[in-house]
Amino acid sequence: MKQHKTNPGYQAGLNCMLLGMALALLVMPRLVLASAGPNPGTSATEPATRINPSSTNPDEEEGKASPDGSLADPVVRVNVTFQSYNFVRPWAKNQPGGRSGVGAVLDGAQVLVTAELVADASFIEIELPETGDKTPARLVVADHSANLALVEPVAEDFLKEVGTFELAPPSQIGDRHEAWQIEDNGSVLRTEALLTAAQVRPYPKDDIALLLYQLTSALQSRNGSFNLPLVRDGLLAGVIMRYDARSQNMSAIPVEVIEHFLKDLADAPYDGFPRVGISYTDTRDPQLREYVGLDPKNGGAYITFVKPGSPAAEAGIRVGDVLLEVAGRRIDRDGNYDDPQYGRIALTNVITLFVQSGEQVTFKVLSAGEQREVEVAARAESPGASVSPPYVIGQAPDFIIVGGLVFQELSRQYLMEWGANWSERANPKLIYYDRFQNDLFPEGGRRIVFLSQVLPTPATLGYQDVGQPVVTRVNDQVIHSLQDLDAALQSPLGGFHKFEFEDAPRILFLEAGEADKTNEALQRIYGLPEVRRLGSSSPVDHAE
Amino acid sequence: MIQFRSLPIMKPVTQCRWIARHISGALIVLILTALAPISLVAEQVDMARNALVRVSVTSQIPDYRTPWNPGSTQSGRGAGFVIDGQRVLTNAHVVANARFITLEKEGDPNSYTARVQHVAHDCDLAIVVPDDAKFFEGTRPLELGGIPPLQSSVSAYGYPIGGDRLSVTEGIVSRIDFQPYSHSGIDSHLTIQIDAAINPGNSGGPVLANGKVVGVAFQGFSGDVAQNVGYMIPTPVVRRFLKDIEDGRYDHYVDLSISTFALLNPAQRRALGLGDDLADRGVMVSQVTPKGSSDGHLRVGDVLLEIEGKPIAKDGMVNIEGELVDLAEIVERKHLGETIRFEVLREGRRMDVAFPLKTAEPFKMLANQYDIHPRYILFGGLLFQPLSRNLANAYNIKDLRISYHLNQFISEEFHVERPEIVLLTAVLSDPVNAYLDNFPPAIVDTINGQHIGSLEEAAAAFDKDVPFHVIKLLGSQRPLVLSAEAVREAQPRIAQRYKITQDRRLDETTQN
Repeated sequence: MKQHKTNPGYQAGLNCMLLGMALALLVMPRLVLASAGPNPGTSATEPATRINPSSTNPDEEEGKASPDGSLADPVVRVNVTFQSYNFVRPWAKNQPGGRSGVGAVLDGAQVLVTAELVADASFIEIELPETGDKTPARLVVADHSANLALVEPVAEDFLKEVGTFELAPPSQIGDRHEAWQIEDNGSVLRTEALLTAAQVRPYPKDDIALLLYQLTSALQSRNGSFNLPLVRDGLLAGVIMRYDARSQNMSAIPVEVIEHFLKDLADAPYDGFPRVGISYTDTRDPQLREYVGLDPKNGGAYITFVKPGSPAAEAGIRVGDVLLEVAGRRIDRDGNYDDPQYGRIALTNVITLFVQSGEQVTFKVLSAGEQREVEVAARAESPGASVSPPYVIGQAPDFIIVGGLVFQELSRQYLMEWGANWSERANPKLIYYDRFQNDLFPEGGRRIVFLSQVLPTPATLGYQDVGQPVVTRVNDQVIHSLQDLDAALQSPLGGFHKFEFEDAPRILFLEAGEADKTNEALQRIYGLPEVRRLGSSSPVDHAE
Repeated sequence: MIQFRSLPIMKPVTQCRWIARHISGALIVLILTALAPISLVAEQVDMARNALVRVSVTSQIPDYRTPWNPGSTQSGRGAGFVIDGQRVLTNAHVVANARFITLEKEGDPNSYTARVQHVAHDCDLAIVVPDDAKFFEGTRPLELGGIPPLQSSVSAYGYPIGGDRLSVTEGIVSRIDFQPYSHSGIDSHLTIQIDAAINPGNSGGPVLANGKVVGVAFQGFSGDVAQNVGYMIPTPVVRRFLKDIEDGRYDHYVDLSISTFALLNPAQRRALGLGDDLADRGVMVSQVTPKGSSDGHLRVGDVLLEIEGKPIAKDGMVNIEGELVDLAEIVERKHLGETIRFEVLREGRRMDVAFPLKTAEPFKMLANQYDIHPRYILFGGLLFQPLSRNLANAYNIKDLRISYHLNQFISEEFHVERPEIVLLTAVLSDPVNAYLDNFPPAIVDTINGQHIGSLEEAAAAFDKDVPFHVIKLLGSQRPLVLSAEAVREAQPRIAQRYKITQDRRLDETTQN
């Protein structure tokens, strides 16, 4: 007898996911909000800040809050109480926690922070460093892919005594910056940070690669948070999101990314960072260059993937084409262009930062030995459009319970419930589907619906040991989303719900009437507040 | 038969380890010997003494990372015993990958060279015969008995660590059950658990009760996992092996190549049309492996009601001579080409289905394999090898796509499209492949436009006369391009630099 076993030491080897795995998470949960006591002494608050020019007294020493109407440093504490959804028990929320960071006050009384700080926030509060005054705040927008968010105080004139940051021009490698922290007494602690590199790197949610600053700095810990403004000559040069105390490495979202974010927002609605839907690799190998007919002198990036339905696909770009120029910039053999500011930077920077969603980018490609130019309309893509979304934040996970069978849609967020080693511990098939979704489901426009667990009930007797099979059809209808499943459940076959799966046991039945009755009992026995939740996210085009 | 396994979260499959080989330098433990109480025991010791064989083996372990090399040698010792027909029965794992075997017996100072006549890695049994029949002078073959009852006493004989001479340990039968056989890693057969101490060196030795063999000691747990748990291969498995080789060839176990699902759910039973007349009967077919024995005969959703005329309970158990056993046990007793008969309920209709049984070929790559030489192609310094458990262990492959293709080879039916998954496993650096270092390990999709489903197909594709050899890997990667001329120049250079004796081996049975 053969037993087909899964390898005990299943090692998925999912690597190079997030940038700098070694970097500490910037926002450490903080349960007790530091009380910034009154600060009469104002001690050694070095005035290095450029303050809002509307300052009433330009001769007054800048940056110091004083009774005569001059403005305080343009930083505030942002305290967040968060409560994330539990993706394994989708009807429940996790324990609430707290985190805190330093926000940069911008023109229009809005405060810039990382999106991580406000993720799953159930309550946001802005606190003035010197007085300790607090006001509830609301989220204006959060882009979790780019890790940026804006919040604003509910009380309109709450920030009237606080200065505002202006955005710095892009930094040069080697420039000295300051990381701004807030001491318990409310004064600003400025720590020098040296910009060592600017590169296009995947951002924490692994959804998009954007320009990223790498700095070195000997930062002290204050309130367990490294969500801080990065300042150069009193101007906002970035937002710090990661700091590793051991290596003293710091990474920050550069001002160009912030500028793109703000510009996008000013032209509402907020779209997000544009992309074209390609992957590429270098053309250093002379044999490859000869094979594709690439001039030995030329550069060029070899296109390895074109997402069906993406802007690049619509423009007729195909796998095997070689990208020679993007928006007039020559692409070298590594897929970089020569940036006046930072030197060689990945070509995607031209797409993500130089245009807004919907704008055209000119691509010059070598296709089947011929050069041609095509216009590609870059556009932002919401993470929810993915077959397995890279993250689901601030949204309740959808689920449907039928008589004790719990159905959910696959997302990275779900898999990450298995903890730090999720890529080794979660269901291998679901990990595989998530990781290789572009190869496996290139057309997109669907989700992976799977049986996530079986709640023991009379209706699910004998089903307890079923694994996590992926649903193919229910009541003879093809299932590509929970909405499809919901619709299919309306038409049982001869009094039974028939569930078909890709994996063993392949077929399960429930009696339709019994399933409904069991659902009511479930709410009673297991105390479930609800047995279904639908429509918090709907990625699927239901045209079919 | 594939058993439906339903653990969503991985857990260690088995901690069984080999009790294979004598470990020298072990601690010497003083044990107070009890006096043998009755003469029957002394008689049994004599019988064992007249049949027990010490098997010394020098083996050669192929190196999958340098498959052109002959591999490293090691030596070990196990036990065996004489059975009728001037043969010595031992464990397959004692003689796996053997290059040189000698046999010694009690009271005879000679070492007799020997060879493996038959080996069954799927049930860990082997027949060894000495080159000189004089070996059998003074020996008396042991007879096979039946299955000893629970809690009955048994004695294990062999040459375990702790000394050089014959060792006897006594224990009782603790459990009789289907268990994984860790030698192949994928097979499960009937196994008897005993609490007699079974240690490295016991392997292949007889376990006796009332003067008859009731099992062959073969595996146990290491002391830090469980104590007093030893396993022996029971006589039905031994008899099946001996019958299989009667025609001079070992055909391997046959396999239904299906998964089944217990029908415990009332709604499931009603929906599948199981009425009161079939109460407590039937399991559902939940997977039919393409190309397996049942392919084309059974379907997913079929309910198996009877096997060989015996009713199948809803948990898959069958009553054989008063004992409830898994229906797989009935398939176990069949041989290659024999017919299996089922009564099934298909779409509400009862019908009889009969088909011949085959071995489960696609499973082979999932098993630990022995007595073969690794197959490979070395082309322009790129090493191509078929994916197998042996290979994955040698390279400690962590790549998600490759592990998934290995572990789900059957369940995801990858074997249909690719009977063999050819990997690019390594690059021997040379100017011809200067930019290809970062590609291994990866699955080969096509070579020179040809879909690759076996190493032979890869070899044929490379033999094509083309200006550029183009290798495409699975996933979104660029093609690997090798100029044919550059490869021709590079081959002898690489062979010399890396001491490659041959640039391909397609036949696993030959060293060269």
